Amino acid sequence: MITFARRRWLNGFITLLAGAGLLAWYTAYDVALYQPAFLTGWLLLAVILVLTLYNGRKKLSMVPVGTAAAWLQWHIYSGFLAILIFALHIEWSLPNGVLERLLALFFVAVAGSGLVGIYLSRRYARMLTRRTEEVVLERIPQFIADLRTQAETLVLESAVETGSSTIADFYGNRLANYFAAPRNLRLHLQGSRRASFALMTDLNIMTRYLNDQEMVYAEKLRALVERKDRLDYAHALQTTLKAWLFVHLPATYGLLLLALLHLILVYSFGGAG
Amino acid sequence: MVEAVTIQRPQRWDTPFCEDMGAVDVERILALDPFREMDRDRFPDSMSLAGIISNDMRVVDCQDGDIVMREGDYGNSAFLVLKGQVRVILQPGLPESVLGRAPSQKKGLLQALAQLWRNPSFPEVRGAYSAEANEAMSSRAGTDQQARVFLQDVPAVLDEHQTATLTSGDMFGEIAALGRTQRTASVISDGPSELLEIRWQGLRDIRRRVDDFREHVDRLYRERSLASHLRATPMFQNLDEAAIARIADETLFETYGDFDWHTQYQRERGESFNLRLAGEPVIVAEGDYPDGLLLVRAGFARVSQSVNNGHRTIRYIGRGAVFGMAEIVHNWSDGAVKTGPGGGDDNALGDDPTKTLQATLRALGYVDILRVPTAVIEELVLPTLSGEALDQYGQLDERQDSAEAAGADETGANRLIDPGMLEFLVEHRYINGTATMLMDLDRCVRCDDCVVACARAHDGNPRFNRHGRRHDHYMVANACMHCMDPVCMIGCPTGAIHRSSAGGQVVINDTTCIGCATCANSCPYDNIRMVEIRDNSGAFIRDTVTNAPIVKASKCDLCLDQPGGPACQRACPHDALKRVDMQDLADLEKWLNR
Repeated sequence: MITFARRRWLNGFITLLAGAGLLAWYTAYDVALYQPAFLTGWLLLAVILVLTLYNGRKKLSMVPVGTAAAWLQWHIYSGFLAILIFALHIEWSLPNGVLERLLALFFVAVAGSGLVGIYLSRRYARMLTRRTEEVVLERIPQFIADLRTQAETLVLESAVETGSSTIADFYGNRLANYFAAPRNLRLHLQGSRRASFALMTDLNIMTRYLNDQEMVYAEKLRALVERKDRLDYAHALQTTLKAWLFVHLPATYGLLLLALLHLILVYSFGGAG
Repeated sequence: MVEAVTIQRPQRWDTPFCEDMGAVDVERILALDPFREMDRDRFPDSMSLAGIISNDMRVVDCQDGDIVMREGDYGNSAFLVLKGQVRVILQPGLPESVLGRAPSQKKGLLQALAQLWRNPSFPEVRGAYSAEANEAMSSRAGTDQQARVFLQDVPAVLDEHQTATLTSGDMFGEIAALGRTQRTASVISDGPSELLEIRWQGLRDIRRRVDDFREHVDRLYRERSLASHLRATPMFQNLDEAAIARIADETLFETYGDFDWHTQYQRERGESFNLRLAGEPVIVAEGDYPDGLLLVRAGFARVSQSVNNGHRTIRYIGRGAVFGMAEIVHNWSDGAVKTGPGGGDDNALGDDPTKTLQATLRALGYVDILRVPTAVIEELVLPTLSGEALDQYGQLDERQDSAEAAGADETGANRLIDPGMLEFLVEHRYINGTATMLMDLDRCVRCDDCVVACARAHDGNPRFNRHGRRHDHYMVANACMHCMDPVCMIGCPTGAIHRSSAGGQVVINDTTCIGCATCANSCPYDNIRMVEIRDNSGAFIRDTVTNAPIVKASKCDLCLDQPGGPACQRACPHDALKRVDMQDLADLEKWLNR
């Protein structure tokens, strides 16, 4: 079984080799006064179509056409090659037509979101493992609702049993909104714990006004806040792990449509053929 | 609102082993040995001997050359010869082609693809529960039971292979039936014969209640499995039949732990590690004199070394493994080594002082041990081994210092399984799995592609949960592990849960499952779920008497019918999921240390 490091080196080396060959071929073609833009264009379209097939492979999990992991490796390294082909195709400069610029923008969106996707997949998976319990994203709202119910029950009970409204007031002012839905998405993505730290600080300050009986309720409330924080964290990271695909996939389809239009225009008015 | 379908709740013996077992057959069998001698009062009314014969047995008429059972198949039944004779093909067995093994029934490419749009829109749909489908189900079962492969040229086969003859009154196949293991030999009918086939549930019930029968079966179990086990042991490969027979005579049989180990495990899994360790029977202890070579015939054992006040697991061993060979080789006299075929010149082990056992061996649940005395090994086995083999078998479990014991070797040169991971796998008995679903959470992006792929391959119903116990960044998901010792099969009253003949996977026959949940309750890993089934319109199928929903056991079948194998593993884009055979420690180690 090949290690990840070895696989990275091997795939990277093959990609570099292919890239170098491509550059050499492009230079020779250019020197010979051919128009390499037509060939790089067709090559780029072919690579993009192959890259798009990966999504189809994911849907056809029941058909034995190689593992999704092997396809993803192809997808990633072919993607790197596609960036090089794209740069050669636009001759390392910004296209001048409106459609061409739009097309370039879509390509950048697809390639950029893909690179972001690789980074998130590697980084957030580890972060999730280190800080949270395993929870399915779609179930998080239900878990939060359960926590909210527990918190509200606890607060009401504390008010009845202790005859004091300190905890209930704190809940109403500071925690009701917090327990209402997933919170602090941006801060969790940044790896910041500022929001939960501030909440805990306020909770600690509030405890100055509690007696021993109320302290028991406050500690239970603190535990619920901590669990909510972990759920928010999982929600933020898991949502982002899925959300980047909502850029990558639509941009890919947009890119394909624009590329088709570009192709028609080139062959109609660009002197090709 | 669709109307619920009602059917009568399935019961044990609803689907007898054979529809044709009439009262006359039962009376005839009751008059034969060994049933004639059995005390019928020992059987309760609900489980009478006649009932067992009627429902768990069938008479099989074989023609000359019929293959009664095939080596390598997973057996769920034993046979008693009523008339005629059968031949047991001794090693080497019949080739696969002669045995008529057909490829497993996998879906074709188009059938697999059609799952994209043909899967029902409701969960757990069993469209077969219409009146017509019930008729089809019973007749299908009947025809399957009679299917039989036969040999074209029996005399040629008998000429080319050594055989043993079994005649009227002899029993065979009970080893695989009771041990939930593969058949160790093929058996063919020699001329026309009449056999009584007893499915293992019936065998178990009789064995439980009749002492003589139990002793008889146990004697056969021990006698017949021993020689083949010894022959399959690598270090005995160079021995002739006389030596094997001599070893068989000298071998001691030992059993540790409880056959139904899973119930004790489930009861005690909440206890502390030390308490549970103390409950594991010690087979041999570290520091003992190695008085014999231990061969694991069934079950699992923990190999551990003491570390201050505790014990550190260094590996686990299962069926077919040996323990104590290194110490025996080490202690063998230097002069004797030099008489071996390999010359032993490069073997300097004899210069060291006598070694006691370097590790403790404990039974993990139930373990069958064969103990071959050291003197026999020294006399018969060691002289046949080459110097290289002696070096290989003489590798001692050297003690590691506490620094090494505390963590994994970080050099990367000789990386092993992290001790914590090893403890985790042993502790939770995941070592039982042949297809344990291991997930690397550092690579898992929680996309659930594995779950979706599983659902697509199973009529829209995922057969596992992406949830389970964790150690560090690894998780063992709640998916059937297709255990080496599938305790879920122990209590199944109808034999619905069984080993697939294709690859030994543990699968459930949905049509004969009565929803008793015995398997789900027995599974120590909580990997079998009971599901309420629906008809094609989405309505729950209900019991005609109680109106309660009909339930069926449901679990991973390792995508037995899918063309590409386990969909979950193939669908993971990030190499985060693998179905691991826990007996293949080298493969596990490579995967963990990628």
